[in-house]
Amino acid sequence: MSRPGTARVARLRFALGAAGAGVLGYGVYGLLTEPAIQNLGNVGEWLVAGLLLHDAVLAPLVFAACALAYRGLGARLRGRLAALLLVCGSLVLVSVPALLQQGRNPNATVLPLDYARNLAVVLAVIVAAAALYARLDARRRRRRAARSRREQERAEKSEETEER
Amino acid sequence: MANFPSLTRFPTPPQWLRRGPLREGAFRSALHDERSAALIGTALGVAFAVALVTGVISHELQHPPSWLPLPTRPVWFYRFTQGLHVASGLAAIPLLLAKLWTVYPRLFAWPPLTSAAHALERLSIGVLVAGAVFELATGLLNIAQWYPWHFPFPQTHFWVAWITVGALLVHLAVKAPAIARGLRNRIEQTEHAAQTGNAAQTGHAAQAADAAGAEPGGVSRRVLIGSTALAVLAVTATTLGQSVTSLRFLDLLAPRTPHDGPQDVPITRTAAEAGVLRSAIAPGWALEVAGPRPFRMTLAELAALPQHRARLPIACVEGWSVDVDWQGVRLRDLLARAGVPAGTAIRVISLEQHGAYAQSLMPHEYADDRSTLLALRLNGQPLSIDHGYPARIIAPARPGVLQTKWVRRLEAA
Repeated sequence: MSRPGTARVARLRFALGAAGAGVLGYGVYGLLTEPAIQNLGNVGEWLVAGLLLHDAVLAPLVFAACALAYRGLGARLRGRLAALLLVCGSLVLVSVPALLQQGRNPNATVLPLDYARNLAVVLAVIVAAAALYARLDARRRRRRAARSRREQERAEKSEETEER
Repeated sequence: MANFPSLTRFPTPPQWLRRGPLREGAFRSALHDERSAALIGTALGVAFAVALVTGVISHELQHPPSWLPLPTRPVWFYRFTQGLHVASGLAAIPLLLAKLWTVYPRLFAWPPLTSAAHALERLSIGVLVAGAVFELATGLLNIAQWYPWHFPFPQTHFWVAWITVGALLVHLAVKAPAIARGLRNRIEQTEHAAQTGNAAQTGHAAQAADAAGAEPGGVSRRVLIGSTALAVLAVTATTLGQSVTSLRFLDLLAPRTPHDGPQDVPITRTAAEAGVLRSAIAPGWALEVAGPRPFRMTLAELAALPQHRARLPIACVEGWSVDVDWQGVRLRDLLARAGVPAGTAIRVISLEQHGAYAQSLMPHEYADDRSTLLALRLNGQPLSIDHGYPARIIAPARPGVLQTKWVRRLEAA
């Protein structure tokens, strides 16, 4: 590609990358020189732990689950299970601190709800909604198939009459 | 590596090392492509941009530079920006999960490193993912007041945000052509799907577009994008009620509810935590106001001064907020009585002895504002001890941590 805009785009990309490197450097400098942060090693541990927790624990589990589902299930069901996994998994992840810390804070206005119960209710509602959707979808699909079958038969009949 | 000069070419590792996820075709879904990454990445980018802007606003309000005029209207300014900060961070959790799912096979790209430039790019991705996970995880734990680490949350969350945003800008620069292709190639992929027979399988042109790029029989892109949107919706709906009071009936998973607390208002720091259980109810308490005509005033004397009402939100950095009816003495009246001229920044000193919020600095914009009160009553009743009895500051559009409780002394800063 040698369009006239290409050089300008390349310059813009370079400027964006340079700005990014600058901002990143500013953050690193700030982190290293911040007097309030005395245990920089612990910050590093948390940074690396987060990366590993996703890349080496959570993602392999999800891909393993998907690989298992791939063997036994049809595409439609797989899609629905994947959607349920993402929606319910996100809700569980967001609730983890509340589930683990509930009742531990002397300040009763922090985490005031029954999170285990609420999460169970929310997940049950979502699974029920998904099941309802699946039933309605199956019924719609059956009707559509029946209709297209009838139309096909009618078309075949009219073709026969034309041929006569 | 598009357009990047390869500083040195690295040799390709021997083929027998290419096992497990490094195998060719180890990841079968066709949704690990530029289009999924570009679409979900755009949504995630928007969430991060909102979190950055609102986060910087919160930082500047708490550490105001002297040149910056501070807004006192609308009174719900901080309630809005900080509610949005926490909501965008929570919404970014499913977005980040979905985005990392689409690009996870790139972690096992072969050969792993082709050049020094490629190594740098991969390093920047590592920094980006580590920073993004760190920001969302520490934010999520902070709103539940859970601190299982040995660093101060505000400063670390702030600096790692800049590191993450810097790495994100580098990422956007490197991936610009791929992002452009991913955002624009819907039609090309539909044609591609038609050629490879997906269209024949579904029979409908519209469905072929939905299934574009997916391998025959695979999960469609519509399902991936739709379920990501549903996950964002589910997380937001079940938590937003902590900041938007009208949605509190859906507030099932948020760490706060807007009316759970003494006098129907939540508390960030209790009197016990602040160590003021005794001093706040000591009979000898009197407010000190320093100035050219300094004075001391007991609670009864303060209550005998002209009282004013103000309906102002209390909005915490942790994201929850609620509108409250406050009643008390106008701060400006107290300062005028002490001879402190308008336009003066004020230091508010609490009975609390230690801690970051034992005193607060109030820029003159708030000190001069007619709705800024030294509040004595809350929702029609005297302040409870956890809400700052005998007297607390309430000013419009400020972070809750600066609405100093258990006030002992006011002075020019």
